[in-house]
Parts: sequence; C-alpha cells; structure tokens
Amino acid sequence: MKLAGVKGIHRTIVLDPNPAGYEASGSPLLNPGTTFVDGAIVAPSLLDTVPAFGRFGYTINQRVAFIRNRGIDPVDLLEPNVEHLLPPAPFFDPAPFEDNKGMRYPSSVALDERIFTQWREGRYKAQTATLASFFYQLSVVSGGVFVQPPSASFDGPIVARSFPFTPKLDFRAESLVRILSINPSISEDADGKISFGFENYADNARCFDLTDCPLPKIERYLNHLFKS
Amino acid sequence: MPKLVPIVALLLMSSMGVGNCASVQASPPEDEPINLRTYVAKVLRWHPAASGTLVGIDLDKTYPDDGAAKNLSAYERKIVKLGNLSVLVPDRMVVFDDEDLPSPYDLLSDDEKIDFLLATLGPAELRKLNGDGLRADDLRDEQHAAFLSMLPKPFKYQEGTVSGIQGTETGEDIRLPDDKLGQIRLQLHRGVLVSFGMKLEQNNGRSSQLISSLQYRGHDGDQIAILAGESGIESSALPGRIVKSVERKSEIDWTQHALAAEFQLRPKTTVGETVAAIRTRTGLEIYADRRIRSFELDAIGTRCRVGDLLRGMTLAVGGAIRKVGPVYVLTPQLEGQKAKETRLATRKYLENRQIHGRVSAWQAEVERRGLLKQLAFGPVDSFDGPSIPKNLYAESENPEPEHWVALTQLPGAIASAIKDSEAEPQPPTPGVLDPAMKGKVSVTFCAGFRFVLPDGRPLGYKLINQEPHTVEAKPDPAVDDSAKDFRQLKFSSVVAFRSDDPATVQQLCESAKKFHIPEIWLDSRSQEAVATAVRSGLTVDLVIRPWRVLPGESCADPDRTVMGSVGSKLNEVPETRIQPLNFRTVTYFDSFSPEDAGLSAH
Repeated sequence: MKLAGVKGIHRTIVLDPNPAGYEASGSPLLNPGTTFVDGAIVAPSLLDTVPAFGRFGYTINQRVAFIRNRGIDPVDLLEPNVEHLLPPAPFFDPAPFEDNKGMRYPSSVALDERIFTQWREGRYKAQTATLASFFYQLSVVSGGVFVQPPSASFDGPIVARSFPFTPKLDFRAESLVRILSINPSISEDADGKISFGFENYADNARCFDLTDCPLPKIERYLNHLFKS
Repeated sequence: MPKLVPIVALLLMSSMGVGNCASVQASPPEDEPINLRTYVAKVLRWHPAASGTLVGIDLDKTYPDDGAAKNLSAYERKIVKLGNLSVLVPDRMVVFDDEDLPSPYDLLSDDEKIDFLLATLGPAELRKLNGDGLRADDLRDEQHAAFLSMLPKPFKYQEGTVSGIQGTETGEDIRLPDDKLGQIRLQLHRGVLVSFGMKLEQNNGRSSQLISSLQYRGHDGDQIAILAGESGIESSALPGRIVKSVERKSEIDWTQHALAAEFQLRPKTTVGETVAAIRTRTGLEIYADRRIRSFELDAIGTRCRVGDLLRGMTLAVGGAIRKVGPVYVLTPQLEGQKAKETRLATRKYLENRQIHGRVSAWQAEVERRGLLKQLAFGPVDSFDGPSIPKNLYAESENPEPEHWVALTQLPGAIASAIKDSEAEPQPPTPGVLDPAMKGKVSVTFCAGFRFVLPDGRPLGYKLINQEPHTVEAKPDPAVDDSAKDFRQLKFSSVVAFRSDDPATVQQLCESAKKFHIPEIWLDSRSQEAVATAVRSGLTVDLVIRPWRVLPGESCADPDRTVMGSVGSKLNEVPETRIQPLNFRTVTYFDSFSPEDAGLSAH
C-alpha cells in the first residue's frame, strides 16, 4: 500500500487478480487458451481440451476444509452426466450398466450437483472477500486503480487481458489495452537470438509484458519489438 | 531422539502377509439363491470364537451371479485375513492406467496412417503392401500400432453378394477373434477412377459422376465378404480392465501405535459411522468419502484391532487411504479421480498433438519419393487398368472436356460398370447432360487400401486421397520475422518490467526512452525503485499482481491445480502457450491462495 502511495505514480494497475478456477458458480469457466482466427476456433488448445489443467484452487488447506465439511476430497470430484476417460470406481461411483461391467458391487448414489457448486462457491467467496479487502485498501492510498477483469476465451488469441482505461497520454481514444505476456523461455532460438513473431493488433493499445525476461536482455527484447 | 516411524506405508497385499483364505469353502445348500450373509452363516458356518471376527459390505444385498452359491467367487468375493480379522473383499478390480489410454494413432485419418506407413516402411515391406499384403505381425512398434489402429474394433465382417456397385449383406456379423487381428493383411493398390455423365450447370459449372475400379467388386451375385460397420469402439464398452484384485497403495502407517487399539464392533452399522468411531478411538483425523458412508458394514464377531478394521474396510471397497495435510480420507485410490483424469487427458492431448505434428513430414516424404505415383495395380483390376494406354489418363479427376476420351477406347469393363451405375437409383442432381460429351469419359489414377481376412478373402477397398500431396514449405513459426515496428502503428505501446533494484530500474527507464516508449508499468516492491522510475520523467504505473509469490516470500501452501501443479510448473508445458505468438495462457507463476497465511505479509 505504501508503494501505491508513492508521489508521482500515475495509476495503479492490478493484473491477474482472477486466476482460472475461482469463477463464481454459474459464470462461464475461463478457458484462456483458445486460438481464434476471425472468430472461429482453429486449434483447440490444451486448456480447451483439458480445462482443469490450468484451473487453480486446490490448495491443501482448501481440500482439507472441504473434506471436513463435505466429506469428499475435491480432487475426486468428477462431474456427473458427462463422458469420462476413466471407468467408474466400483463402490464409489454409480454403476454405469446393469451388469456393472461384470463387477458385482453395491452402487453408490450419484453425487449431488450441489457438491460441485459448493466447491466452486467456496473458492470464489474466499477469493472475492480477500480481493475486496485489498481493493478497498488500495483505493484509499491511490488516486486511480485499474483492475484487469476476468479474461474469457472470446477475447482473442493473445492473452487479451483488457480493462477500462482512461484515454490519456498517447492512448488515443482506445478503451482497451491488450497485455502481451512474453515468455522468455521459448522466445530465443538455440543461438540465443530472440526469434518470436506476433500478431499486429492494431485495434488496441498494448502492453508488452517483459516481467519475466532477464533484465540484461531487456534491451534486446525491446529492439526486437520496436526495431530501433 | 524419537524413533522415526514411516508415515507412508506403501504395501501390497502379497508383501504384507495378508492371507487369502478363499479356500474356506463347504457344500452349498440346494435351491434358491441366498445372500452373502446367509452364505457365510450357513455354508461357511462362520464362528467368531473359532475363526475370529469377519466383516463385509452390504452382505444382505449381495447375491451370487447366476443364482447358485457354489462358492465365494459366485459372489465375486474372497476372504482376506488381517490379524484376527477376516474381510470379504471383491476378488476383482477395475484398473485404468497410462497404458490403457487409446493409441494416439486412433485420431489420425486412414490417409494419414497410410502416409505414415508409406513414409517409414522399408522396400520389402512396401512391396508386400503393394502386393499380397502386409500383416500387423510383420511390423513392430509404431508401425504395428498404426496398422492396428486402422482396424475397426471389434473387427466384424459379413458374408454377402455383389449387387450393382454395392455389396449386399446376407448373413450375421462374424467377429474375428482378437488373436487373429495380426494375420489380417493390408493391401494398397492403384486403381482407375472414371468420370462420366458430364452435366452442364446454370453457372457454367460442370459436374460428373465417379466410379472407381477399386470400389467395383465384381458382377451381380458374386460372393464377397463385407466389412461390418465403419470403425470405432463398441459404444457399450467401458474403458479400463478388470483384473484380480490387489490392495491399492495407501498413505498411512498401518503399524502405528494409534491403530493398535482394540475396537468393539456392532453387528450392523455403516462405513461412515465406523470411520467416525475410529476417528474418535484413535485420534487420527480420518474420513470416509461421502459416497461410501451409507454402505452397511456387517460384522460377525465383535472384536478386532482398529487398524485391521480400517484396512479391512479399505480393502472391502477396493479403495485406499489418502493423506491430505493433517487428514486421512478413505477414497477410491491415491491419485484423485479428477486429478487422474486431468493428467491422462493432458497426456492424450499432448501425444495427439505430437503425432499430428509429424503428419506433414510423412506427407512430404511420400511426395518426395513419389510413392503413391509408383503404386502398382492389384492382381485383378476391375477395369483392367494396366491395359489402358498411358496417354489416355488425365492428370486430375476433373479434367477439362478436351481431356475426356471416347468410352470405346477403354476396356469394356468400364462401360459395363457405368451401365450398372446408371441403372441404380440416384438422387437428382442439378444440370443437364452435355450432349457434346455423350459417350465420353475421363480416366485417372486413384489409390485405395483394403483388408484381407486370414482365410484369404478380401474386403472392399477404401479410396484414399489419390491426388498427389502438395506440401508447401511453411515458415517456421519460431523464426517468423514478422515483427512490426509498433511506433508506426496508430495505437500506443507500453512495456512492463519487474525489478526491486533502483539502479536497474533507472537503466530500464533509459532503455524505454531510447525506444520512445512514453509509459512504463513497473512491478516492484521497492519504494526507492518506484521513486527512481518516477524521477525518470516517464509516466509510471505501478503494477500489482496480488497473488504472485515473489522470490523471498513465504508461502506455505501455494495455489495448485487439481493435479497438484503450481503455476511455475505449468509454465514448463509449451502447449500452454499460443504459438507462434509465444504468449502465455495460464497463471504461470507460483501464487498465494486466498487463505494462505503468508498473504498478509505479501
């Protein structure tokens, strides 16, 4: 909070406040990895195909709390009424067919849908409560706070993080800023040459996020991006 | 120094002296089916004083499979001995592990599998493929897997007769035993593709009908074998294998002192109540998965060691004890069901992606070596393709009218096949027959594969894309040199950095100025560093990532996915990034969860 109050700071920008997995129950789950071209999915990404791969919220503490309160470990929660890769677990899952695939065991009752809602809601509430407190404190110390909203897949092929922005400085009438988060671990070829390409998003202001680029190489990245 | 006791006991039944006492059998009574409780009491004549305590799940509701209680296996149970306690446990279990994932070849098209085989087979195998046929048993490793993935599962065929172009089934499905699949031969042959009946359409377009010598299976009434169904897995088939049951690994030390206490059993209670009583009795915080809590736990006898009872219940439901932080949970297996599904689905995705990435290389190899163009006709081509002069063949299947030839120049079998085809009922198509093209056809080459049954009877050909593959050189996205000068664009660009070092921040600000970047977003925890940036004259925005764990910060319980991965671990998977753009798509840094104690100091 002290930082946000440093004199001369133009504004405070909160990034990545909503990791996938903390969505409110009933809201669409975030699939940030879809690749779109002209509005059509061209390549289902890993995160489209296996959304759970990138969803968070399964800390030990939260799992323990759920086991104590709801009697099941969230890592066992397989959604009902959808096709699964895994066979049902005898005794634990309802038998799929009359003959139980040749296995004779008493069939459990399908999990109540509410258990899934409870798992999502619990995480969502914990997160929003923490964020609300955080934003309140920020708003006191900083003149302007801009928060990145949850990013849905339709936002576009590049991470497409956007948020309302005050038109100012060189931002001419644009209302969005795309944040292009550059990953240095796959940005260089075997000879160390920066070699990634990128789309030209001429419709928005953009922030090239070099947060994770090695500091000694930042100027080279800038050169690649801006071709001085 | 306290004695160290291993927390995790990963024990298999066979290594632990867990006795299998399924041999305790006696003659079954006559007539009607009896439930498992009655069987234990009247047939096994179980007496706790003599044999110790026995427990089982839902004994009253468990009946033998065919009504006859010949032995315990009729109930699909066996008895496992744990100290003084005997437990009725399932004698089989369902497993689904990494090796049970479908072959990644299953998602390739047949054309792509043929490309793979063509591109990788040796000369002798290619001759077989283009001759009498190649068997799966002739191949190994990936080629073997690719071949088998082309076979419908289950492999069924029917007896039939030729009726026009199509065959007509005359019998029931005949399933080829799985152990015969390796003897099926795959043949790849050249054929003749004939276009006929050219029509003129309203917009000056043309259309025609096609018939192939590979699809034409002979004369009406000829006996043939027909592949039943196209492909796919039996819809009723569940994934997984049923195997003899073994004890699953658990994360609990069965020998620990807390589990050595005596336990007083009631004749009839539930799994949930019993686990709750064990929790109270031992002080171990243990829970039963809610899905099994209501099952009845039936006991004959009243006393046993508490650890044996817990372990016995775990065996009786085919489950495992998982440790999560300070608590234990009786659950299906150590790896969470959702976690395992996610892990295996990820593996499947990555394997499929990897194999699809190789397709273009196979196609390029087939094209480079001209393998499709070199294919020979099969032993009998229905249209007598080898006798057609080469100059009558067109380059493509839809040639210009001037490349059509008189039907009379071609073997008589083609005219007969066209006559048969025209005699069959056809859906109406737009356009009118072009009178100038009457009696003319075009012929070109095509290719198709077919299976030959172990008894030597061929099934029908399936055409593959007979057009020569056109493989255009694509720029490597990793070296795409399309970087634009963003200063020329209409909209502005800023950059974001992270540093707590004022000197570094000053240098970064200088770099930004050099590139005429008017505004920076600075992620920093240092007031001095932020103040340095402000003094640079640039517009400075302070970036805060509220959940990110920075170096040096304490986070006892970082946020995780269902697989237990932290953000930095996800970042190691290249497929989480969009290529060729090279931007991340997941939370790529280790992060606090909302309830982490370290968050307050963050």
